[in-house]
Amino acid sequence: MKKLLALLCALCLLVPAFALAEEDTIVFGGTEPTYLEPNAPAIGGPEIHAVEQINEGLVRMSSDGVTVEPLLATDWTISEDGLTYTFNLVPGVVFSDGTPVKGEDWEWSLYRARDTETSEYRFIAEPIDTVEATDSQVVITLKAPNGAFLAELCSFNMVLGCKAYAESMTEEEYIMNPMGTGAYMLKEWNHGNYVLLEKNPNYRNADQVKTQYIKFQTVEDDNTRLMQLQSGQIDIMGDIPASLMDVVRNSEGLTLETFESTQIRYLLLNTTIEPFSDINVRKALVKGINRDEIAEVVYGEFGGATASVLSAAHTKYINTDLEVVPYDPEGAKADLEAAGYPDGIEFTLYASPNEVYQQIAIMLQSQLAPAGFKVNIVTEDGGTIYEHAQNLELEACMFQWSDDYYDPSEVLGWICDYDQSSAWFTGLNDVELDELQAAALIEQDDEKRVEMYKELQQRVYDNYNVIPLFHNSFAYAYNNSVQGLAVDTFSNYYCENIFKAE
Amino acid sequence: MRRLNYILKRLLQMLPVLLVVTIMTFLMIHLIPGDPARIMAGEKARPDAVEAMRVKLGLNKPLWEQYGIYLKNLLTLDLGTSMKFSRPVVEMIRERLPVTVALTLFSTFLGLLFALPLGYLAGIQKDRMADHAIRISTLIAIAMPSFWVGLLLMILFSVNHRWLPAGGWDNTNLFTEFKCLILPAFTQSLMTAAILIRDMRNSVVDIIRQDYVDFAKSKGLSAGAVRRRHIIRNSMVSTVTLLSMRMAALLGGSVIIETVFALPGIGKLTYDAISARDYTVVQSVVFLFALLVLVVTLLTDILYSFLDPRVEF
Repeated sequence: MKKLLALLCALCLLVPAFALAEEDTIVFGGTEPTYLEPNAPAIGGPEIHAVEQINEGLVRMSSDGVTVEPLLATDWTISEDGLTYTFNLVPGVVFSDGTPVKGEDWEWSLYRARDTETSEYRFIAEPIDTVEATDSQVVITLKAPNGAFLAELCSFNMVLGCKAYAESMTEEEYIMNPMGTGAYMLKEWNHGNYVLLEKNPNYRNADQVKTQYIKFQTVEDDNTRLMQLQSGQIDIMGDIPASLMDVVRNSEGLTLETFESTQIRYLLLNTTIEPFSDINVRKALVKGINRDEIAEVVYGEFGGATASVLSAAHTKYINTDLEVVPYDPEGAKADLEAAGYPDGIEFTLYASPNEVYQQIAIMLQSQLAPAGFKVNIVTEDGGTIYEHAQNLELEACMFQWSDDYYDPSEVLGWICDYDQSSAWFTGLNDVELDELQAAALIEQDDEKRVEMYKELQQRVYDNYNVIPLFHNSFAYAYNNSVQGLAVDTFSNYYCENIFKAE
Repeated sequence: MRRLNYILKRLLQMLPVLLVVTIMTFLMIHLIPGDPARIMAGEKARPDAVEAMRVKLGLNKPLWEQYGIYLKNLLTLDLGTSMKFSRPVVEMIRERLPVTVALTLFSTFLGLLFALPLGYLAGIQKDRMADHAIRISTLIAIAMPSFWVGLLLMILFSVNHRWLPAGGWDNTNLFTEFKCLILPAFTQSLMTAAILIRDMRNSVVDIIRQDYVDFAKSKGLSAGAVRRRHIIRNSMVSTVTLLSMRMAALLGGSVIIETVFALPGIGKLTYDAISARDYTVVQSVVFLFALLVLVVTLLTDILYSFLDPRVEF
């Protein structure tokens, strides 16, 4: 036994401790993707980060998060009626296996984005009526004019895939083995452990790509991920929770980058059942909430209270006249009395077990108490809350929203359109609001469109059904040797220029 | 012959137990709230996409029909396809199982390595310094949450000294895999060792007072022989039971250890499958582990007869 132990100890000392991330490999630590194809079901951050390196679209959002820049299209024109978009294509593009891109690949890809029944994001491609493509041009005709369409084309699911390749296998195989024209291609997927991407040798700018491999390592626990970053096992860590941001900032050899995300946490009040069917009660409740304090406690310097339902990323569309209602528990109590509730109101707030929602729930409970609201907190898992909220069974619950592209129509459609989401699970069927939202979407005049979206924000503000609580920054961190990583406000990772300095 | 009959009888008894297990897991996972079609389709999916998902997954069929399909597949040894990952469940389990088995064996080995000598020592030194020290240590080991121990070990051995990886599963070769297992196995072995030590100590305390031990001594057997043949061997009976139960539990995979150490094992798979309401994976994994527990219990019972000839079937 002693000999065995001695042998083990000796072996441990002899061999280098563990494989540090190698020079020609950049390792991201994070959650494992479920699929690697953008039209698969339930696409989120982990999937998108990998997909964006493999597939490309006609255009993309530039890293400033506002301008649409050409990608596989060199330039484009939009017809006067706003229905026809004509894109001229970059000549000579080939897929990573060397197959030349054909017009039929574009038609197949964009129809696939629109028609894949179980795709989470197919609504983004819904405006498309027809696609006609040659090897040098793509012509997209819309069902109705759509002011958001160019921004929607930047979305991760409006990308090019190879028709013949996809049809050579089953759908199940394809969504795990995508192929595109991007800087990287899938090399290996060791399920549960990592996804390895390799530089695409047929990429049109292959000589500019400096790193041979990008590895997405599965490390779900935040603390473990941070330790792997500190010990050099991984190079980049995304999605750093607020509670760890300071630790990362004070770690030697690491750089913490924060950026204003599009994430906002919302309190949703069900207007179809008591007590929040009464707008005066909702109004009183808003007075009893101290959003500044919640933002400060939950995100510290990385968060802030917000009055509009739109995130700061939407720049010109934001209605800056809206103000955060100041915390006034006395006033709230008086309003509640005036509304016919002299003894106050008791209601149930559903919160998922997530640390952030638990913190918000407890703060709301204590802030609202002096305003005459007794808040009962019920914790259930996110999926369960979603199901009940969707059926309009909950009095109050909380959700978050992050935008997928630069245009307010996505989130305002979700909040205002009764058919999409029962006005985000609040059951408010405001026909005028619905119509204004639909009109804003097809408006061609940019100035008018901006005004319409500002009006929409004002109306949501006055309805007191969807209450934005606070916005927050996102953070990612990397080893100081990593250079050239760009991340935009929509959490898109631009990896083609990434490399490790000596 | 009698032993063979006994084993056959026990194997037959397993069938109704397994049937009940299938019914219970099926009902439990189907009756907890949370709509799998919505979870699989994604949060922003529109209602029509969710409906399409429901049809694709066969969740629009009545519950009894879904159960019938599940049972029929099980009888043909077909564990089905994961709802979330669209991959054969058998394949997913085959990928994950080696990690969990290796972790379990390694941590059990470490646990025994600590437990046998320390448990014996505490037993023969009853109420002396060594006994107190060992008992207090086991209490501490039981009380410390394993995620916390795991993190502390990682800070010490990975961040400060870079001797061992801070979790992860480096499958380059057997040695890198072994290194990835050291910290999680050690963390997990603390609890196993603590439980075994306490049990072993109590058995030893009981056994050294037995007449046959005195008799063995008085007939002139050496202290070593008494210890080996009479004390340790007899005290092993209850320890083996405990160990088998502990191993069966560990084989189910420890969600906490596997999450903290980022190991692609069965525990993590089960946890993710439950969160995602991946019915097929949950049902298959639970069924397999029920089967495993039954087999381990049977093997333990058979092992008794070798450890203690007085045990008869």
